[in-house]
Amino acid sequence: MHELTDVVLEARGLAKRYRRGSWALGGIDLALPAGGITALVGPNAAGKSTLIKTLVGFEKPTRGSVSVMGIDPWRERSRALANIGYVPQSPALYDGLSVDDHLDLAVQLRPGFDRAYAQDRLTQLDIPIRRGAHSLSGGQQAQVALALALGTRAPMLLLDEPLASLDPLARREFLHVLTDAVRGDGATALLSSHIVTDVEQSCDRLVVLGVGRVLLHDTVAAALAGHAIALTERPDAIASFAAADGTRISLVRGAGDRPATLEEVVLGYLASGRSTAVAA
Amino acid sequence: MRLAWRLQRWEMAFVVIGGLGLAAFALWQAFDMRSMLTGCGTASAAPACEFVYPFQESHGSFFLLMQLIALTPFLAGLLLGVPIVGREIEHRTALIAWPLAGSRSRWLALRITPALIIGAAVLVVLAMAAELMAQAYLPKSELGFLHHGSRGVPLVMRGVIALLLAVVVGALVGRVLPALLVGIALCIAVSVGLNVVRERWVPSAELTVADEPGGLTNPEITEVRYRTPGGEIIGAQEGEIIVSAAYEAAAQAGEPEQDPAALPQPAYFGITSARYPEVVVRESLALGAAAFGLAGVATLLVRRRRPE
Repeated sequence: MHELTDVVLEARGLAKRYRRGSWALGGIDLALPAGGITALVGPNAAGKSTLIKTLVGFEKPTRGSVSVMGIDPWRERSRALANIGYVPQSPALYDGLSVDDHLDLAVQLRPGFDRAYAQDRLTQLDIPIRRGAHSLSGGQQAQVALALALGTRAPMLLLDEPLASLDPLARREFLHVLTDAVRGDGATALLSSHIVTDVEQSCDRLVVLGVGRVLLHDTVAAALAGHAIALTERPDAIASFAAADGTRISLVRGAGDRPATLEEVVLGYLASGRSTAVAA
Repeated sequence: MRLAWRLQRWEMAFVVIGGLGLAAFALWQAFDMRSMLTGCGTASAAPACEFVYPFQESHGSFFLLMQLIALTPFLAGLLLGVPIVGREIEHRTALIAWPLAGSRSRWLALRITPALIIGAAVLVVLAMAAELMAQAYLPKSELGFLHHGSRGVPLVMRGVIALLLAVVVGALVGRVLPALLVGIALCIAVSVGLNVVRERWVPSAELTVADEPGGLTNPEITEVRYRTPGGEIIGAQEGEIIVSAAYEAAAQAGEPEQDPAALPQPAYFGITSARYPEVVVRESLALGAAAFGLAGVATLLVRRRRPE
């Protein structure tokens, strides 16, 4: 249990409605303690990107509030961003610049950017820094975007589905670098993804987001230890859903017929969120 | 500056090569016209040669070149200004750059400054070359409002305003090509608007004979009216009707040519060339203030805009 002073990222009653009228977030309460990597998982349109963009100050909350290191990123964006390293969904590097130029640009834009640190990270991965960014593979571009975020030496890293377009090997490398950096620097990272198996090994905490709400927020260890799978329908089940072989299984708290995998925990909560939404 | 060049190398190369190329051509034209004048000074040349000969030979290319030079600040401003924010949003690079920079105002200042320096430097060279060419074209005249906006400080100020306007449009539209099209329309409006404002801002007065077309000064003629033999000023349409009617009546009566002194004569109204420096200072101050205003609008837009 973390003290309140350890909370580095907080959302209170956070709701976001876009102009077209749909609610992306329906009132989120979330508090992340300092240190470690938190996986933000959920299906497409669950509100993961909206939550992260609100934390970076790209989106203004419709209701409620957010804070990063105690600072409101919409009202005091510059101050909040001084504490944030951000990796967008697609790396979106400059076509006309080399990797080296990207590091120079970061030095120019960000006072205190640790160029040597970022370059070391890229060199360790054999990424040719003299080459144009457009000629790099998707995995290498994602690594450059991560190096740019890490070079800020920010205590808070926000990663908006950086794994989405990467192949399994590139995903593993990316997570390895992220884990190494976060553990080494004592930073806090919020990593959104819809690929649960990837985050299981790297993340300390888990937030399951569905239909714009937080369905589960716990440590990965506690989420695994506190849930099990029942092979028959149970009235106390969190939700029932189809297993990979097509049979109906139920996610339950406490003891069951067998331990639940992290993917099953996530699926169970997502199914419970869906049924709640349908019922509502 | 190196990174700015790499981020906008095509636009900057186009502006630098195009602008300096035009300046070189203008200087060559000026040199050519001066050489002709020198030739006119020989004993065999006719006395009127020093005006007529260069005018006949060079009027076409001088006029065309001045028109091209008048377009250059707007074109340069649009090419340099639109991609500063527009391309960042279109290519989604703002997602990387804006969180890195923290302060978007600082980011914008870092992006605008090199473009402004390069654009202004090219336009200063072009403005000086155009001034020299105009002096060579009319060596005995006061240049006054001759091709106003195509030479001197007004040319540079038009480039500055076009660049900042382009930044604003790029930030609003978020895509380069549509923003360029909107920017072109707005630059045409600015160009027309400047003429209208200038004519209204500086009161017109009746020009003296020396200021009238064909004289040795180049005033800004805003209106042509008629003066009756009695000294009364009447409107252009009314004057033309009286003159036409007089000629028609004379033709029907089979009378010889009309005595011009008995008919209304054109009276030119406008801004004398003596007031040109005052107009340039006023216009430059107004455009400078507008540039600051546009920079403020661009900053506000960038601060509030989504990066994609």
